[in-house]
Amino acid sequence: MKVSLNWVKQFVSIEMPVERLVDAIGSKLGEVEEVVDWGARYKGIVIAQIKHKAQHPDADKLAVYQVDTGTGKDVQVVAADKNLKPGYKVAWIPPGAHVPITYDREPLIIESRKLRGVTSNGMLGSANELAIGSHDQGVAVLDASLKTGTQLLDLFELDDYIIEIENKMFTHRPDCFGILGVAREIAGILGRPFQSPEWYKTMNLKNNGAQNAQLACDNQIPEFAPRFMMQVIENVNLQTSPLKIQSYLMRVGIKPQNNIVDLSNYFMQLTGQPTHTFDLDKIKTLSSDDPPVLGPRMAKSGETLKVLGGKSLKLTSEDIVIATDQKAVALAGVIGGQETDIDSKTSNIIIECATFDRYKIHASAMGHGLFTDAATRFSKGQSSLQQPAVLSKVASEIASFSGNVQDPIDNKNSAAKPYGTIATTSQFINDRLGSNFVTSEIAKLLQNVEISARHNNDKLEITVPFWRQDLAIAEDIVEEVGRLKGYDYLPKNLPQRSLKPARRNQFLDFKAKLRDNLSSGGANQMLTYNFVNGELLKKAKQNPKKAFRIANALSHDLQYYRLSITPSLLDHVHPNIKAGHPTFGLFELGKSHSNDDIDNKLNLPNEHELIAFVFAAEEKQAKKSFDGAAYYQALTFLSHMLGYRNSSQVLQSCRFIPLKKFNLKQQPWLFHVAMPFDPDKSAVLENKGQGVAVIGEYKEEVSSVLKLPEFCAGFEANLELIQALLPKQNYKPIAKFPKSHQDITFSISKTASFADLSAAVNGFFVDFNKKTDCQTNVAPSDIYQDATHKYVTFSIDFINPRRTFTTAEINVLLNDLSEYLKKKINARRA
Amino acid sequence: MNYKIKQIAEAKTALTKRFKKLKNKADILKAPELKRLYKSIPSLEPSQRKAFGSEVNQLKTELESLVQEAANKTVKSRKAIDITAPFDVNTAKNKKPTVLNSQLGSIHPLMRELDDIVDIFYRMGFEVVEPRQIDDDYHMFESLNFPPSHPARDDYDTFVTSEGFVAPAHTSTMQNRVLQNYKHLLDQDEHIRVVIPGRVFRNEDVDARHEHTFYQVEGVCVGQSINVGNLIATLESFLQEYFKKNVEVKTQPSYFPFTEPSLEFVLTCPFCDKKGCHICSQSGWIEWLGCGMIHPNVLKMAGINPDQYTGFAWGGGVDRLVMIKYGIEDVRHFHSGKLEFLRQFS
Repeated sequence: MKVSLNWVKQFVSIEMPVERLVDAIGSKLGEVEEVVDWGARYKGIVIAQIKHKAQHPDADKLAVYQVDTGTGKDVQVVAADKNLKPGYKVAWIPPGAHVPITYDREPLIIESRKLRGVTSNGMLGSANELAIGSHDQGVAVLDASLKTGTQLLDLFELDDYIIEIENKMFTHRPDCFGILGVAREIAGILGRPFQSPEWYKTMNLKNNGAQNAQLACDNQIPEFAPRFMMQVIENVNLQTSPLKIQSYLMRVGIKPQNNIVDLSNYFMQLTGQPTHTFDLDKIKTLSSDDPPVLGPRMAKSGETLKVLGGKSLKLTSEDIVIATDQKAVALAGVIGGQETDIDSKTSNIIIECATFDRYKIHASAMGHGLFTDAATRFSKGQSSLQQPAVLSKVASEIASFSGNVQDPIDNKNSAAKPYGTIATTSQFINDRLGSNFVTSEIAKLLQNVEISARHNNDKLEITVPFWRQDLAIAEDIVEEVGRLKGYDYLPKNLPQRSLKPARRNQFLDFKAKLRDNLSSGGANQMLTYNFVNGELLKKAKQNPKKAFRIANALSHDLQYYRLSITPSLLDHVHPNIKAGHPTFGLFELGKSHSNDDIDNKLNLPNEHELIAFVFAAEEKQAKKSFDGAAYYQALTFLSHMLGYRNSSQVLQSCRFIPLKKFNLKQQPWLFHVAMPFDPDKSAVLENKGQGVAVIGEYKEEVSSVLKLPEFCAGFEANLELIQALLPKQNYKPIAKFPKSHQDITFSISKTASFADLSAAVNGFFVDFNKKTDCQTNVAPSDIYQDATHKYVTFSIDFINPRRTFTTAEINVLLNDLSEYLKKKINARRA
Repeated sequence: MNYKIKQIAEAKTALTKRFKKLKNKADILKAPELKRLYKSIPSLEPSQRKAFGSEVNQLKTELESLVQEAANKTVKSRKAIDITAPFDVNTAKNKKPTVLNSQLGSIHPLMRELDDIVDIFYRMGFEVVEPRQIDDDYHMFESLNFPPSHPARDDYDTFVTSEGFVAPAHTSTMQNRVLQNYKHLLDQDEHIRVVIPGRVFRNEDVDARHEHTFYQVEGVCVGQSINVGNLIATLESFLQEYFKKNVEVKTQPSYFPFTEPSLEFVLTCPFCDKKGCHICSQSGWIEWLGCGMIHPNVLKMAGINPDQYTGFAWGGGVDRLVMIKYGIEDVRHFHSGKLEFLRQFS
């Protein structure tokens, strides 16, 4: 909302410097976005009188004027306007001064220069160039009574500041979309009583009926158009408005047109209430009734309307239109129709002044992309109680030029409530502000902004003024008091609380732990977007049809909710290698969603908390540092992530099932997670039939299209399922006697899996530990493979709580183990 | 397959020869020769077009099957692995898989700062709840006192899925849930005190200062006689602890449908101490968050009696604070996935 300070000053006197006023507005009314020193553009421009006129010797289209600029010495100016006569008063822009209209964008500074050989010292401005009117043909001829040499700044209150206040603050303040409302608030925040002009508070109209000789009203939708008023003025005279009105409109960003439209706009700026003018004779031709009937109705779906500016709208049944019995003539609350527009031939007009359902107007403006000043105001919900005052003011101002005002038509929904009252107490207010205001102090703050507040001891009875439809509950009064006082002046006290500790969020702590572990393993946590391009899903072999599609995304890169995190990580592998990082581990914690996985109770998609990791090494580095498949590198990180103690227990409580053998269909999230992984070189980590993670290398096609290096593998795990597997702390007393150590190697067929052997070995020792109260810790230390067999070496610690194991005891035990393994899985001791 | 048309037969010879040398076998399908053959079809005599076209198609099919064969071969040639083993067979002792040097590791700065922020609020007695990342209109707007078609909805530039779900544009989507889940505390004369750190989404163009994906911390405090002064004091205390220095704060009135009254919170720039610098756009002040007293309708919708209890809520951006703290010049770095950026936060 652009506010002209001088316009405000017509209603409230302000002596303080503008900087201090702006600070006060910022802290007590709303954020000030910009302050424009409007007068700065007029620096140097003075009123001059034409002394002498001559034809330019070399240019038919130019005249050479001698002008008196108040210094007593004539100045020569060349101008294209040849109609100026000696004695005329004009505005002279001297060399070095700005052309005012260009001041804010691409400023143009005038200089002395020769025009076809004749020196022109400065320029004589048109109304538009001077930013005081719309006329741009010819030099502006000013009032003859003006004194030569006077600064233009002193005219029309041009020495002004335009303060732009953020609209958002006024979402619930339709009154502040008018200068009057802002002036009232400024008085309030300066602690002064405000007086609205008398005409504004006049509520009664004489002779208001539903029709008269010229016009009738048919309001088909009183629920969406609670009040619809019209007034006819006959024999109007279309002309340009006085420059003062035009200049005020230009300051707040409205283009002046003619006295009728300008006055309608001027009073909209002043009060927040838009009015619209129709050409009565054009309305008559579009109506079969006599007198013509005009009023609001819902548009018919597919109905079209050509609006001001020439755009043709295709309406929906949600739009409100103003229509005759034959035809829609305006999109209500948003924009007028072109067919019934005021033009130079207009002699009889209808002024329409209405209020509409704010949500319908908002939807229409959004739907048609027409963010007009009227729509902005109506969508905040204007008060129907100010219509009579605004309508009669606009009508009488138009008629002051010429014309006969006819009786107004007033169609109102009797259900509309007039004044509301709010009962509250100073304690209620103080409790919520943390303040200690006495009742009379509160009442005074409210009365300053014309909110009547009767008070008796602690009690306050507030009568809501007609322009404040936002005030409905006692909390609204809390806001008024806090704001007008200034929140920054409230006592600042921390809430009093008990010493009860806040419980930490264990899942958050768990995630932080995994994150810290990975980072301690040299991996880097990244964040990528939840939204991905459909192409990336396809590259990762996922099905975009299963992903939630963003219907209003600005870019293709934000087309879908991702189905898992791995594709986003893989997408960053190649760029990082290219940037000169030969080896790295990337990981991200995030959520996945898919449209085949809905919580039917909540009617919301299930969310899965996942962690994804990818390890990559470019070719040379991989050869130098790593033997064997990248898969094991991912496995090492998975185990490091879980932590030393947890990892052995978590991994032992799970089975590694080859991805190609696992039925993914039971768990949609797992299905999507698994898609980029190579079924031959990946495993599902399974616990009690449920997959908790996928680990492995990526499909050949995925690698190729995402330019992954050969040595690349990773995992993606479900954090909640992993958390559920975490073992409780399982303390074992520290051994009193030195442990014994022994390596032992078994061979199995090349085609048997390591797990077959290790499960049997572990089973044997778990059994032994149980029977004997001894402890044995088994860890594989080497796997050798030849053409036919695998040879696995286990490194075993033997701990006896009573004494050290003897070599003989260990040998017996290992012989038993060998016998056991031979029978069980046909493994041989090597 | 032999081709009758000379041009096509020649192309086949050239292409099969090249195919053997190609590293990425699928590139053969993009060969200019093949494109040229297709392009030449319209300029042929109509009578010849059909025969020519069908031979070109045959050539393409032949090349495609070559590519497929090669792909099958590579897949098979990849060495099988035992996915149940802890490391690969015949791995040298000094080349066993191992994690990287821990000095290379890093935690994302936003996550580290969120931890720090959350820790301060823990100490102030707030519990922590994480938000959803896909939600419904009820939690995004309705439960927060935004009627349908309310113009304030426009301020949130919300992403919507074709099914009508929304990507939360603020962490306030959790307010109703948190109030419901914690309201039993009020009967025990305790406050509801919860912070909600999480990811939010706005449908806007990305530049050095704007992201469509960013982080907020929401805070909710409800109890008897909780007031605006408490709100300002709480946020001020937080900021002083976070920046470990005195920062001045001021407020400006604002409007949100879910708070009444509503305020915006502004702090002195901790970089220049009000002198004006590039971080604060020379103003000396930084706009940080929106806050206010929870609207009675919001409390009611969560089953809390607004006559008995009052509360405040805020929602502030985390990215902005972190950028201020570290002097990070471009918000896009956070989601860039660049190791140059990430590894600075080890």
